[in-house]
Amino acid sequence: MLKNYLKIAWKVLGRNKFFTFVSLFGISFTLAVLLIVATMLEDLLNPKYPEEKGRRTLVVNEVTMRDEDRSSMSRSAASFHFLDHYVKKMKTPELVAINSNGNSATAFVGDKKLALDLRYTCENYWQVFDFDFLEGKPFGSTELDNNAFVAVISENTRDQYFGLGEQVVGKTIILNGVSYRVMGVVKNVPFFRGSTAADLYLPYSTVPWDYRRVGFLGGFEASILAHSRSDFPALKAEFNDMVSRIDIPEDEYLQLLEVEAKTLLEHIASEMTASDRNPVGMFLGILIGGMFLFMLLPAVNLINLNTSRIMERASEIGVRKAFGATAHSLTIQFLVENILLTLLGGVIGLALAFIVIQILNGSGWIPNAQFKVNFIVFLAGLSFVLIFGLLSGVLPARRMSKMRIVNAIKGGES
Amino acid sequence: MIKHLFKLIWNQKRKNAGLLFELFFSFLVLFAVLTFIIYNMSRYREPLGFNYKNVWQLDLSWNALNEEEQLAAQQLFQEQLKNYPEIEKFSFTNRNTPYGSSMHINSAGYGEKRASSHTFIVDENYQDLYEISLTEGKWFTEADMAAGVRPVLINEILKDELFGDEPVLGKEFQAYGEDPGRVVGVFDNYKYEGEFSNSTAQMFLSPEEGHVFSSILLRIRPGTGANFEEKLLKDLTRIAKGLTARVIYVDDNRKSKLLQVWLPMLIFLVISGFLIFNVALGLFGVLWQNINIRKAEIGVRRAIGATQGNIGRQFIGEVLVLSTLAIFLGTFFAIQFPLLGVLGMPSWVYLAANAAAAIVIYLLVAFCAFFPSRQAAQLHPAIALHEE
Repeated sequence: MLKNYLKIAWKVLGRNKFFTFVSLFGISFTLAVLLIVATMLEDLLNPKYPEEKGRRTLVVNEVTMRDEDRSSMSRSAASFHFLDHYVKKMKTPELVAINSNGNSATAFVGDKKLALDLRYTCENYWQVFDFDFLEGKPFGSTELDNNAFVAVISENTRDQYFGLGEQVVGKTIILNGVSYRVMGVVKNVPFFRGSTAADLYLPYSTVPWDYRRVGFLGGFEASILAHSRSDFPALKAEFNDMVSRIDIPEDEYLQLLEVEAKTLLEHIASEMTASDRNPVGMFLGILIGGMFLFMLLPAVNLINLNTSRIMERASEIGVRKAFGATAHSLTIQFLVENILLTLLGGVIGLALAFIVIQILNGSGWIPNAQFKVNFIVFLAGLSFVLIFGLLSGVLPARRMSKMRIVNAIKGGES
Repeated sequence: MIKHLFKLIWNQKRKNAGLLFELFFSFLVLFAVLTFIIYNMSRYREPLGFNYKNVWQLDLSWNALNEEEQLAAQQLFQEQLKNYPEIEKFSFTNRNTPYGSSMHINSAGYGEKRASSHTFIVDENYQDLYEISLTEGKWFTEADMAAGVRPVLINEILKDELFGDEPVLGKEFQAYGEDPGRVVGVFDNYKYEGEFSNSTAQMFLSPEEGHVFSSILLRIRPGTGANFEEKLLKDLTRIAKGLTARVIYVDDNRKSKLLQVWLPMLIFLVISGFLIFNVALGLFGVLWQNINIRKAEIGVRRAIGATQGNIGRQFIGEVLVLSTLAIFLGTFFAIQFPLLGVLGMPSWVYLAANAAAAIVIYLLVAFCAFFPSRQAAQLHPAIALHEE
């Protein structure tokens, strides 16, 4: 029976090519766009190179200070003093890594200028994050203690400064007029990895300003690695307790200290929504709402089209009914047709998404990003499509199967 | 005629409800996208008020230098920068410069009135460097700065907020918190946050005695490259040991700032374009199908004397009435934005977007209905009636 339905469905799709094209276009493009967006989000939200341990990492990257009547406030990244003196001494974490954010260095090659994003990091940084070293190794506490001017550079920086694929460990790179010895070369990191994207990494002991100054606001952030995700509540509790115990000198104007240890999702959500209250809920709400709105129009369009398409076959239905087909079996038949159509659209959509992502990866429009269509994302997309197909098929099919035989044979006009 | 069309639509209400919803939703999408675009383009058309070409921004990080060392270095820089033929003009300023990411807002007052103002602390050469035009008075000079009360320039918006229609030149007011300032001039547009930004209340404030600046703007002779930049940075760090300096090309900053608006605009356009194209194709299919089903009706009308034009007009008229309904419904929602004033855009933007969205919908529908209607009109009465 099913085989028959499929055969008929295939014939029908071929008969009215315009309708088939319009439906397939709507389905496949909608799915392709959703898949591409979902793939990018998956890459952004799911821990990836070199933040593979991101699932059990909390970040501290924003400190807010207010005065007592909350009329003035100051917000920035944290100070080295706060992270080194308080956060690093916590008991629950496995490791705490400190790195700076938003620094840059200028280097010159011939008559070309390189503007490089730079992070000052501590020795734990290389344990918390799993960088792939193409050559050399990271710096450790020896280099930090000896105040050594050493650098870990990215593949990109190496290619631009020394030349494509050179062996560079031990060579000298001049940054902001200061000489550094290259210790290692790491694989590039895409720009949207909040804690690890940079062109070069230097030991914090070479920071040129007075970074050990006492205070809470500064240019540093910390990544706290927990033994496991289940430690998060304990870790956050210890963190909040530690913050509440901090004594702020009375002559300071800003007396209230607000700082939080956040998960990656919490961090991205609060950055995207700029909201203080439940940013995660808002972020997911906007995402899901946006996708729903985006799907609504093609879905309504598909329903309208399906209704018309079925209307056209009114006389066929009339004849089948006259020969005893039940409303039930007619509904099933139309649903099978519709699902076949949506699956076909889904396959085309997947292919489209795949091609677009390959082009994106190859073009370098999004620096250093390598997106992959994830199987789960694909399954989610496909189930979306099936629901889409069912919803847009059920309504017209039911209406048609209820039509009176006389009207149907006459050609519609229910 | 219209009444008749309504009746026809009502007779097919189930089928038309789908179309109506589709058109209504398309209208809302268009309204949102067009509001965004019209608003930004109206911002873009307003003059920028300064010339960013060939300007370099030299950002200074004083690091561990103490205040005396900083001041001494600043004096030396003043002399040193005059020596380079590559530098046409230069001006010292705080970090809140055009296309940068910093802003500084402070509260100013005159009599009972208070207003918050974007405040730029700059030196006497700033106007000359950025070619800012004044509507009244003159930029401050070193003589003005030595004369006691700090000279200040305000823009028209701040002038209106604080002084209203009073003449302002020479007036003293609380320019910087409680610190007094004396108005020496009024300046025109200065959209330092970029072409797409809103004009706000602003003032240029002369520095206090002993103020240490954090940036230097350089107008560079065209064609100057990284070689000079390297030399300049080397010279400056030789003068002030421990200083870190970097050069930002203002033109690069401008591009990335503009991209922050162009990019979403492009994405919205592409997405709404896709949605509308999808709807157009669907509409075309549905209309075509509808007309095919109504062959008998067409035959009868032709047989009793309706012309081809009559038939064509009837079908186009039907969809136009339907889209008018959808647009009315959409306008009801759209009109809430200016009424409630939620997004703080001027009302005319919403009205223009509403009208533009309506026009696009009408054009789209008329275009989609044209071919099926013509096909219907060209049906021979005999063939059309044959179906019956």
